[in-house]
Amino acid sequence: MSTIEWGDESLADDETTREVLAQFDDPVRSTKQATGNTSRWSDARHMRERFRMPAWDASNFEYEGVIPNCWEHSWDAGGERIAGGTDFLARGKPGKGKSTLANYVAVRMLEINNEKVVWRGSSSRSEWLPLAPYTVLCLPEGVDVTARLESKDPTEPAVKLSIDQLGEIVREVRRYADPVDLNRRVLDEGTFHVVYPDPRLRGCQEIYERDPEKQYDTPPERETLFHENDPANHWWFAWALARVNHGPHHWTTWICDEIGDIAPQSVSKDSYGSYQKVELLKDMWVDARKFGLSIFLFGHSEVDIHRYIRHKIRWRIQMPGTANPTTASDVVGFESIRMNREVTDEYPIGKALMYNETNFDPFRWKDMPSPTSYKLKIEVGR
Amino acid sequence: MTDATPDPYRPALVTLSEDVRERVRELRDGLASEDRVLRWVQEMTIRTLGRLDMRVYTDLSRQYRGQQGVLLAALVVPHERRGRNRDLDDETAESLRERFLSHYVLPAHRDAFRRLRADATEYIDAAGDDDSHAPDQQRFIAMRPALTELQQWQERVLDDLLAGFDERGAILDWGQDVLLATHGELDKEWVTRVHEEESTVAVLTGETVADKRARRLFAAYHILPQFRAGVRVLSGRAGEVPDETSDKQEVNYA
Repeated sequence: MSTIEWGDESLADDETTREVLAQFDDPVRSTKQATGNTSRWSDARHMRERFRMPAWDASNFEYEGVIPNCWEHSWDAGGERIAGGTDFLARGKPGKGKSTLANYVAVRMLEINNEKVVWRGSSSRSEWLPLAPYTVLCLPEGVDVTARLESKDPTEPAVKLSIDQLGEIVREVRRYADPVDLNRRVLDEGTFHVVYPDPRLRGCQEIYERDPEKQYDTPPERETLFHENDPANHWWFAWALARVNHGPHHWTTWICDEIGDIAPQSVSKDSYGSYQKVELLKDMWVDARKFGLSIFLFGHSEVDIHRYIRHKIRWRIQMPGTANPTTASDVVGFESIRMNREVTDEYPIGKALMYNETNFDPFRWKDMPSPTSYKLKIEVGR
Repeated sequence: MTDATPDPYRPALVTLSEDVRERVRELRDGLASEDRVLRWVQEMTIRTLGRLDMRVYTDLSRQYRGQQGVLLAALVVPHERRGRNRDLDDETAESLRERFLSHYVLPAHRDAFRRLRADATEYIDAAGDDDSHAPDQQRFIAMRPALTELQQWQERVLDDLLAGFDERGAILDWGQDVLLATHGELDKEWVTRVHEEESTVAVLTGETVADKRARRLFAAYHILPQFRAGVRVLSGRAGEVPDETSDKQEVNYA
């Protein structure tokens, strides 16, 4: 029992709620993905029109091996291209356009590869709101979900939303039972999904046990690696494993903002087995590539992220405001680097440098503003 | 009020124009010496905010290589002309000087003027009301000291270089001044190389006529273009300094 008298939180009245909801753009339910009618525009096309994005054109780039290779996915690539899923880590300070770039890349993945895009939802952030009208929101079934809109001005009262009211912001809310169910039944091709993890981690241990090659120390005083008391974030490790081992193996992109939250450099063998799970993610990285799972990570800096993961990432994006590395020793997992000058520290927001071990290529992306300054907080109860 | 608004920014533009006009007049009569040509270009570099075409610098450094070049001969007064240019026809020299002014100096002056003009206008718009006078004055002062300071550093660097150094160690001190005078637009190991390379040290510390000439070439080739880069960065056009590797055109959307 709480010993503190918390009192009732002040919430916005009905009228304010209506006003705030009206600030959001109406969900788009007329596209190919929403109606099943193939003669309609695809989601990607609709998004491109909304944000005035030019069509994808691989010939814009000087080096085929850098951006086109990472973003155009193919099962039998030749020449400079590699087959299967790809990955990148975009690093930059807050406010330098990481989230906008994540939205932009999501649209490109839908456009280029007709991917199932999975955005890692988190209770504290909602940077995906620019794409809300197209979003299929995936929530675990059988648990309480609270949703609220919070103003940028924290003195304004928050707006509490019911699940039905969420339907005024996103296209559809779907529920999943476990990671395999999510992958097989819930996710659609060419569609943008925001997935909130199941805090009870249902099915996670079973998925892990089904893979005889993955054996890690069980945390002390426990019998399983995954447990319902684990942080909800750990669900993602099991989801990725389920996607790789049990398919379906359609092109899938996992957009993972703030990767430092789930695989931090400081991870240790704690009572939740956090370290073992980072190892698990590392060990399945190669399989992810083979089975068409692309993992796009965003983070503040290289050192926030566990080196096991950094070793595996083959592309980097340096966001503006911070200088790009000029020696390979600054990038874990890279043996060479082609840049000999620091350029990105002077880039404006909206321009960044993508590089791998062989080359580098600057590129720009369009701003994709959110229609309102309100943040959506979705919290999933246990 | 309508009379008052343009006033604040006019002094800045007028001073700039007067400075340029003075030097244009000086050049039309011919400059006093080869050293003066270098100083003149340096002063002009600042006063055009680094907008002089890069060809001015490449052409000029060629003029100091070996025999005195014909453009250099035309820029200086007759008794400073040497070698095969000693008898350069005065009319030819005058027309060369005028072409130099009309092709390079005046367009650069125009660019600098427009650059400053845009700044001043922007500021007035922001201020909005009668008070615009006061902040705008500040804007004018705020810009001036930075350029004046750079001018002083550049003068000092050039003077020291042309005079030559007593000993190798002095080059290191001078290198720090160069950093300030170029506003940091130096390669990482620039000073190191100058200090390490025997032939360069010999030229910078030598006292023969040949050494003096080599120092002028050094100034024209290694120093003035960096001065230009420094002014461009300082005057807030860093984005426009063309990178050797990148195109002027903006990159594409990914």
